[in-house]
Amino acid sequence: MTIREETGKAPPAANKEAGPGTPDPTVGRPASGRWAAGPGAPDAPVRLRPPQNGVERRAIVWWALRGLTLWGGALAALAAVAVFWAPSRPWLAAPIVALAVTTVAKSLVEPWWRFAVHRWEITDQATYAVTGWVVREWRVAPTSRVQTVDAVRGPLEQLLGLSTLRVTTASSSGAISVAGLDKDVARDAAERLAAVAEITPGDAT
Amino acid sequence: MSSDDTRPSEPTWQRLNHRVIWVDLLWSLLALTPGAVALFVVGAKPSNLVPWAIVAALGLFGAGSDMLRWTFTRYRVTDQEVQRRTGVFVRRYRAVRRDRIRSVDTHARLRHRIAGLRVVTIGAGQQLTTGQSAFVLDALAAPEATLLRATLMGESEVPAPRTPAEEFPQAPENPAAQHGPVDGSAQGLGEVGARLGPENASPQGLGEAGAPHGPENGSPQGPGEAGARLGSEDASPQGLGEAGARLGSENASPQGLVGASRGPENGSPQRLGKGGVRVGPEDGSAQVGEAGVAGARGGGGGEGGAPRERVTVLARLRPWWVVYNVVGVWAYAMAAGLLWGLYWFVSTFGIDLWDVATGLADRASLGPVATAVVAFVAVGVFGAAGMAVSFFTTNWGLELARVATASGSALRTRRGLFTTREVNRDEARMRGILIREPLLWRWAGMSDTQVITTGLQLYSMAEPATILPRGPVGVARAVSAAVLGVEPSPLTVPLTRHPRAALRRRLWWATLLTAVIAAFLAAPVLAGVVPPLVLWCLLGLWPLTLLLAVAAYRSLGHTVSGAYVVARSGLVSRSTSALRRDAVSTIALRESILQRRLGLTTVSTMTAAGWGVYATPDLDAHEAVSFASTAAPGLLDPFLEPSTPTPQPSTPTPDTQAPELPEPSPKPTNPSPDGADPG
Repeated sequence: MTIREETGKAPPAANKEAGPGTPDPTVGRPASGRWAAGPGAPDAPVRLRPPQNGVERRAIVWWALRGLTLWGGALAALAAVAVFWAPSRPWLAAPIVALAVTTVAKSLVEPWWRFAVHRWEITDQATYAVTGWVVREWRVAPTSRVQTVDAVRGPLEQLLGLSTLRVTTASSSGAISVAGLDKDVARDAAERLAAVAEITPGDAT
Repeated sequence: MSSDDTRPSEPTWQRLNHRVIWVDLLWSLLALTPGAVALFVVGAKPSNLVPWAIVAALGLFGAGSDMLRWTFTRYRVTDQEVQRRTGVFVRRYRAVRRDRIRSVDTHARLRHRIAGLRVVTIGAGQQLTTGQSAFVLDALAAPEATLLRATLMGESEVPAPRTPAEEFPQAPENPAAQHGPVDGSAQGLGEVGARLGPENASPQGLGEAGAPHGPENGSPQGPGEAGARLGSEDASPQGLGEAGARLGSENASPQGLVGASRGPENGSPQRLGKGGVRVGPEDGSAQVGEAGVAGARGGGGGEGGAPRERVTVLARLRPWWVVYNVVGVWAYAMAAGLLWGLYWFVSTFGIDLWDVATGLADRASLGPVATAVVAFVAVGVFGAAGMAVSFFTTNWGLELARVATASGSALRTRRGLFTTREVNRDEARMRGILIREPLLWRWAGMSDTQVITTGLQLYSMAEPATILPRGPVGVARAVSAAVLGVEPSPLTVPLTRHPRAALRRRLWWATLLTAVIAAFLAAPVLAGVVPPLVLWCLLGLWPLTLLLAVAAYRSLGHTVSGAYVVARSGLVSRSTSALRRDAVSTIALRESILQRRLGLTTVSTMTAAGWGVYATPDLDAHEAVSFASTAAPGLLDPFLEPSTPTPQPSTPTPDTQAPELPEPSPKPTNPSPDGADPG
């Protein structure tokens, strides 16, 4: 396809691309450890190395707050129903227990777990991120297919000076979200990636 | 109203075709008819007329708003854009850049066809995600529609070169030309039957409208393909002759239809007679013959003159496919709808359908069980009959063909008995094929076939991505192979089985599902709100879920075949997708905790086309990365573990990313920014 051939020309113009570039306090964090290993056992012929950069430590707070407000809120609502409407209690017993366990997991376990897992890297050629906790996911999207690059900041994120980098491709489900970045890092990365992607001709499908 | 006005730099705004108005007037009359008949002829009580009043009101409203829409709608084609202004109270201006246009499709409902109109839908791909309404021109005259499509799709040589040089010499041979005189007279008449005339004979209209139009109406489809079709048509059963002929040449089409539906009283015989084609005095069959002749001549002419439009027919409707389309629960949904309508219909005549049915049951006195069985079967058969009618009206004369265009080739589907649809899919935008086989009917080989392509609406009723109606999987595979055009068809190559651990994962999930339901029901059972019997039912559910888990495991498979990555999975509907590797944009590998324990990885290939993501669940974790790396050649290379020898896993298709890979190589060990910049 012509799109492909043209992308070959793109990278040279993108000299300024400097990977994740800006100093990131967590960059030095070793990429080894249980959660950093790529899929596949060590003896596999090939495996994915972990991306180079970790996320901000503040992200732990953000994930914890998010879990608490979302799931804690749902738990409170359900508990209120159980308290004020007696006939529903037999039906709500199991859901309440499940929700309570989920809330604890989401606010106490998930943040640390995610912090250990989440890593990201942007090169001229691709955006690469590892996310998840119970379900881990490695995603790689080629820069030549990038359509939009956003740095999104929700209310909690603004409070903590964090930002989520969202890189979308033409595929409806091919977006890569890197949460828990410092807002300046995310903005710089978004600008750089946009600069690289913009000069790529074709409509990126 | 010729679109040739659009050639100058500042083209004028054009209206939609004026025949829309006449159709609307006719439509209003039709809407009033049933109520009038019920009131004055049958003498129904006014209280029973509510449905008919609603019909009349809806018809009048629809026709009226349609006229308003016609009055306020203008469109034009500039060098850069297609522009449309519309709207009565809210003025809307819409412009689509011509280089963004991905499809120009036409369809025509019965009323459009009677008036020789075509509805043109211009697709620019955006609708896919934004849910924007399509750019529709409702409606243009058939020749205008064809010319517009040719202009916008860059098939400039279809109308243009044909027009002066090749087409006119053939004109005498073309039956369309022979209709010429008829058409002239008919247009003057303005009576309904006469108005039918021009439309079948639309080419004549062209003849008078101006030289450029003449050819492009009948001929683009007419010559080459009609001839081609005739060859195999003989082999195909009765109905196809007619339908094929109808498709064969746009001009001839309505004749077949009109002849068939209106019968001899409509004057079609003499029209044909006047047209100079010898036809028997009867209706449909004669016209089929005539249309066939038309096709034959057109074909001969086309081949002799300019084989520019090369048409390869890939598939044609086989009537027995109907058996695949009438089974299933939808037959009951259809029966419910039909019976509901019938109930209201006859109730306006004072008949209570329910009483009739219960009366029948009483008289038969079969006993409750037998009555239920008979009713079940009867309703099913009734629904199946409805489905069959619906299948034939939708797919009548279905033809899937590869058509050469200016930019390459397109897959074209034409189908429909009353409402005809023509969908053209640019093959340059095609990324693969998907075949679905429903679990319950896999033994019968039932399958659905979709192309994976960008810029088509998946949720449209027209199902533009579906290239074949539900039919035997053998046909689906053969047609897919022809569409993909690669030698070992990716859809028939043997697939790699997935590890047994994938079966264990499914068995675990089946058990877990049962357990979770049991856990949620435990408290109510203990409290006595729910009878304990339910728990025993759950125990019966467990083996069933285990069985389904095995079925789901058996449907897993994957491989890489040439330029395609093939993945098969799915429980309720086993889907086999063949996706071009150079179309893969994002690659994702997933591992849940359970998968990690079992050594499994799910690889998802994401693309801009079709459903966006095609997953290969539960590969062996060891081979997952190399499979993913092969599926998207070169994409993962910079991120592969350097410790192990990297066996350049990509066997890339020549035009894929291979070239851009060597240069980047920001090898993982080297995080320095400049490492990524060789030049």
